[in-house]
Amino acid sequence: MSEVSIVERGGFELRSPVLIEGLPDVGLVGVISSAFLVDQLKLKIYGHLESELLPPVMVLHGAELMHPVRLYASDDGSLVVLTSEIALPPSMLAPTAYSLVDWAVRNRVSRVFSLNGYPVPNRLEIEKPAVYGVGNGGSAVEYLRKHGVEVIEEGFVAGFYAMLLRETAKYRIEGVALLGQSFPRYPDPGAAASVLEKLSAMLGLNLDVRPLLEKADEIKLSMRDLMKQTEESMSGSHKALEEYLPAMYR
Amino acid sequence: MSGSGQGYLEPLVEVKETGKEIVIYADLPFVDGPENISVELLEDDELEITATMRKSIRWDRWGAHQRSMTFSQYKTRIRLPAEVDAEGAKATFKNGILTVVLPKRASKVRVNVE
Repeated sequence: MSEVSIVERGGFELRSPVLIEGLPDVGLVGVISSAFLVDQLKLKIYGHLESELLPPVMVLHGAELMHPVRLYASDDGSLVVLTSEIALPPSMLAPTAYSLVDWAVRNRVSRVFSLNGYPVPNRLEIEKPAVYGVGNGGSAVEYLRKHGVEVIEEGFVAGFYAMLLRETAKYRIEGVALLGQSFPRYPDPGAAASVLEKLSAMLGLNLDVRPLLEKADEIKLSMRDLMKQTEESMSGSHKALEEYLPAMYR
Repeated sequence: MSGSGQGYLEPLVEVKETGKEIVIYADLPFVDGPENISVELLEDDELEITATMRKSIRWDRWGAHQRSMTFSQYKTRIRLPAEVDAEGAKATFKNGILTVVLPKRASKVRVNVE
């Protein structure tokens, strides 16, 4: 058994799907966004991640025992979303990226999106967070620019999405990260709303993100414990590098 | 087993220290304005934040014992990493985030060089 396995429930016929990753990270933007997608697009459980690296935790929802890291898919098989209700330990990030990309190759994933926060110190002053993009190659960057996403040209990216961009590039799968300006250490539904608006425009999902903003307080409160876990996990995954400048000059 | 109770929620807090100040941020969802927040500097270099929510939050079937808990206030005590000058303390509340700025007590002493 590899360190991380993707266990599928069956019953779906995937058609070169788009894979959207929304694991816990800065501002929990990925988790808030992926939970919103699952709810709004009425996605169904496709499978889950299994690993001895995961903490011994299961989740109860309406008395149903569920795995904490799950994949959801649309009925038409065009969209798969990865979400988690627990922070992944840093030691699990690389094996998860390897398994996910292996799965993506086998299932002919057409493009991988990571939804995430981009920590900014002046977030309090920002009414509507901007969304930046990172691409894993020339065509991915072009795709972002074509959709009006400002591309980050210099800097560090760190954490799971950085590994996912690296691994997808290896296997020539187009990978993009959408990063909303976010509070680094608080759940940020506003940043998630900005990211989802952009994703919606890029994929033609026709999402109305107003419920996210209307329920912002509720979301922040319910995500409080996951944010604490995630902060501990982020400290082991070099996230602080994202605030540094790279050393190369030209 | 079941039960119910009332409690305080501990807010998410971030403490930043610069050369001259300590800045504390607290995320306070469901708090309407500064009139609902109290910030007190205690002895032993501790800061206490309490805040009242605009509505009670009830979590049903919470935890393995199926308790329901109702929260209507936040409360936390933060140990400050340095001595501060209470007179110069300032606090603001914007977009659900409380910011407390505490100037550090000056401890520098200039030494004449002869």
